[in-house]
Amino acid sequence: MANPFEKRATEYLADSESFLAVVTPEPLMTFFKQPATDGTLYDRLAIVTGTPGSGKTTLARLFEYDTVRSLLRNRNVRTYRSLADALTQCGVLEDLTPKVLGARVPLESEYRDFWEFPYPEETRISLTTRLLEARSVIRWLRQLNESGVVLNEVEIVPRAGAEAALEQIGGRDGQAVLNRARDVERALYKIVRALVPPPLDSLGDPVSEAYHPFDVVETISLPWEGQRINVAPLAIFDDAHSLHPVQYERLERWLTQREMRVGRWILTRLDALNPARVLGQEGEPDVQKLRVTTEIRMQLTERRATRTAFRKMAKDMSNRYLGQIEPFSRRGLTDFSDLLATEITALTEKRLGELAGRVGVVQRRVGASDSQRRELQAKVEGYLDRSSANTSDPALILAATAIALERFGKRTPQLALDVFSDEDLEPNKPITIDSSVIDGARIHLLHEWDVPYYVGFDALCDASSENAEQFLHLAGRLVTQAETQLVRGKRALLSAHDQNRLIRQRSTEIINSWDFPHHREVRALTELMAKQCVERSLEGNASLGGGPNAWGIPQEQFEALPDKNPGLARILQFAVAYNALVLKTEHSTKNRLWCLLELGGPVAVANGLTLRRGGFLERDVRNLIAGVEVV
Amino acid sequence: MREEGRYSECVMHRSDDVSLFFASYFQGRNVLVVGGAGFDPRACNAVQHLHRSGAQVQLHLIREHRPGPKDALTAAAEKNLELFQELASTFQVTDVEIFGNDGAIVGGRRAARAVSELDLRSYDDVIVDISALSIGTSFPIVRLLVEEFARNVQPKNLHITVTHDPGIDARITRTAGDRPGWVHGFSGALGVDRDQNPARLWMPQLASGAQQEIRRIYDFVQPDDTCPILPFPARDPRLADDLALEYREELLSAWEVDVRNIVYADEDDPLDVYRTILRIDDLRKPVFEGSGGSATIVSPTSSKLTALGALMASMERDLPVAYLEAENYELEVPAATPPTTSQIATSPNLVHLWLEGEAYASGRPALRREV
Repeated sequence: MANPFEKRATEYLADSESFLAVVTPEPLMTFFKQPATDGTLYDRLAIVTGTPGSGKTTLARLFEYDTVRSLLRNRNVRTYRSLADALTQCGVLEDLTPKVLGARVPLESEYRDFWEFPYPEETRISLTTRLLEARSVIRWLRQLNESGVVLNEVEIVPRAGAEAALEQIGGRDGQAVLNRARDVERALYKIVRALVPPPLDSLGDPVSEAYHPFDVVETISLPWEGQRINVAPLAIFDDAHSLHPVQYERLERWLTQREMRVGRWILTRLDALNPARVLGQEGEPDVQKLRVTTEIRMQLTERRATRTAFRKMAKDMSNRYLGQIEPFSRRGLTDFSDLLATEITALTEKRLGELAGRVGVVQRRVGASDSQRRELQAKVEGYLDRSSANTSDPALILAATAIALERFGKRTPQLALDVFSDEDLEPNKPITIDSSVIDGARIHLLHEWDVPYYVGFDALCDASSENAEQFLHLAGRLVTQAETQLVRGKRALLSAHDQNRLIRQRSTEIINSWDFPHHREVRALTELMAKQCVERSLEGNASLGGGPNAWGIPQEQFEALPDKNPGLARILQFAVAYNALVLKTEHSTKNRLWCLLELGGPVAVANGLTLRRGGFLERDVRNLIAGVEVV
Repeated sequence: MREEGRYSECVMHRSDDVSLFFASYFQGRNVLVVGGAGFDPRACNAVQHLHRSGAQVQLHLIREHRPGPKDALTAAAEKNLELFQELASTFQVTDVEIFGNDGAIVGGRRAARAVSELDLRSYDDVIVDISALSIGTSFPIVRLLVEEFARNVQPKNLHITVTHDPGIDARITRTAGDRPGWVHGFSGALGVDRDQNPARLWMPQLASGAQQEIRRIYDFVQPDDTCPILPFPARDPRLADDLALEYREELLSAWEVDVRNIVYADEDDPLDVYRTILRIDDLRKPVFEGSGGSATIVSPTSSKLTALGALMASMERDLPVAYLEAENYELEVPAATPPTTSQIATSPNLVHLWLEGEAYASGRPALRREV
């Protein structure tokens, strides 16, 4: 069987059962449970945003009736229970009975074309919304039909006061409503696919006739296991970034109408929005907007929380995928993190001696006495003994001591150096050992002594920039290696060295395979950023701990980008959308606000940079402009 | 039973035959050429041939604009334009933005509208030279003219020319965009709901270095079956094998292609591609008749010459065409100086197809239009 980690997400979408076998409920709990509990998920417009690969379509698919139906059919399968529970907490199920009739309507095809028509804006938006409504109705009813429900037994329940308008959507009967929706769709499709737009006055019925099912339908009644149930229709408009910005804005406005009773979501990629919004510059949504919309960002703004949530989701997802691979499941290897060794092989005696020699050179250069060196080394050892995140290791102790000595040298008044004095000179500020010194030491060991740095499940998650697809791409390589070991009769456990090597190899491949628009400019920029970050990371005193992995641009300069330099803004838009860069706006340091452009996980990993966040090089827009120049 | 194709007996000339045909047919005729005003070194080749034939050539050029063109390409396009000016008695250029300001692909629609506004009544022949036009603009233009012809509006005769040169193709690299879609006017009937969805057969024309592009198209099409088209016979007899090797992961794993589903078509013969697509489409029809029917989807991701075959099949059967628009182009070495009026490039292979008009008796199979 092919490694399921290597399969593309879309390959799972076609069949509900295989989709359910690999999908994790964690994002539901992270992003959707709260609004569902607050009652703001289905009663108003919900806008869901995320980068490509963040799992928007997967989520849309999970809320579709087809999937829910498959889940209920296989309700006794153990792995489905957590999904059923998550869907219950999100209000899709109640007592294992569907409450929501979800339909995903992709917007990637014809809708944007309406905006090219030489018609008044009102006509164009009317054509757009009408086609959306017709297709939503079709998808609701077709799913019911495909699940075995006879459409004549399906009844449309109108909202109070809209009974008279039932006629315009085909009546109450499910089959008649489907037929009407199909007629509308066909008429509109004929217009949109015409090579040249028909004259406005020839459009006729498709535009002039009333057809507003979203204003009419409240619930849909259907037979369910010997009784009748009512389900709330939900239209999920996926890939809304395909629309023209004005069209998107009009659609958003239209969907915020309070009269609508159907649930409606817009799913959109970050680069769908105007550059300012993608680049994270939108201020707080106003109160009025909050009342009519629910905003769900599939990458949390609180970064520590994001990492924790992502690790949890990635763990569940990878375990599900692992369960699909026979050599692992047969041996009861169901936890992906168990495949990743965390113990780092010590340097050989010879190499350790060389490293110690280098530390001695540093000691002499900075003028520290043997007792001062011992004191610093003792501090390092003490810190490592207390630390739960780091394992004490002779190489790590030596590398951290070297950094401490360099810092000692920086803080000791050099003019007072007197080779004839017996007294030890003291630094003007005591040297403390913390996690940043240890991270710096680990980065130095990676670059200079090839000691593995990207080791363990958390590192793998952090290297993915909180992006599910990227995580699978990186993890897939590790799984293939572990599987090979199993097949050869060895243990599945991957050594730290192998993990580090494979993750870095895969990261380089990911970067080499970039082919998104402006990838050349993005590549040039990230290469330059990475080069400068590596140089700074390898400074002897590790002034930024593990080093920088970002450029900081003054916030005010960054905010002016879309107006002053739209070309650059567009390049950055793609860089962010494809996880080459991650933005952190309004980062406060040295009494100034910065926008951090962090290198995405694979870029950081390929270049041997820290995965810890916060370290950055101070730059400005001129550096960005120079950085995107393709030689 | 297989249907006879509308273009099965299409008149086609290649290489030296083109010059002979042009000299005998076009002399003294009033000809409109719709072509591309781009950087492609082949852009002027067909018009040069026409000029020598003694035809009254009037030019309507479509200048495709993409964001951030390289200076070298702009300069090459300007040189081509100068040469066009020397060759044609009347000369008009329409600028067409391929991408809207939001990045949406709008070029095909805008090009079709520009051509629809032309008054074609005064011409004996209209030639669409697709050598320097992208798939996204050339396909809608040709289809528009073919449909006009079918409605007996205009023109009297419709021809297509393309200059084929794998060497130049190899020098041009394109960066594909990230939004796969249907070529404007080529979405078939896939956009309307039916009781049973048709089984989707996807026929991509495999080309070297286009893996990512073709994968994206695959994700967009989501076919039930895939029949990749490989070039054979080809100038390089190993090309089909090399491509199969390059795409082995897709063929064996992602697309799960049965080796019997690999289709071969002559690299130099658009009619072979055309007939191949029609044959496969015909074979599937009876098989899927009772279960929602079959929809054949093509992706002309290889050379322009083979794309022509896909174009003819798609127009005739109303087949959807899935593609990825090019975000930008690069020419590996500086564009060669275009030959002067008197010189005609000899190496590129000019191909001429007489698509509609006086050469054909009435009663050819009609063009289908499902919606």
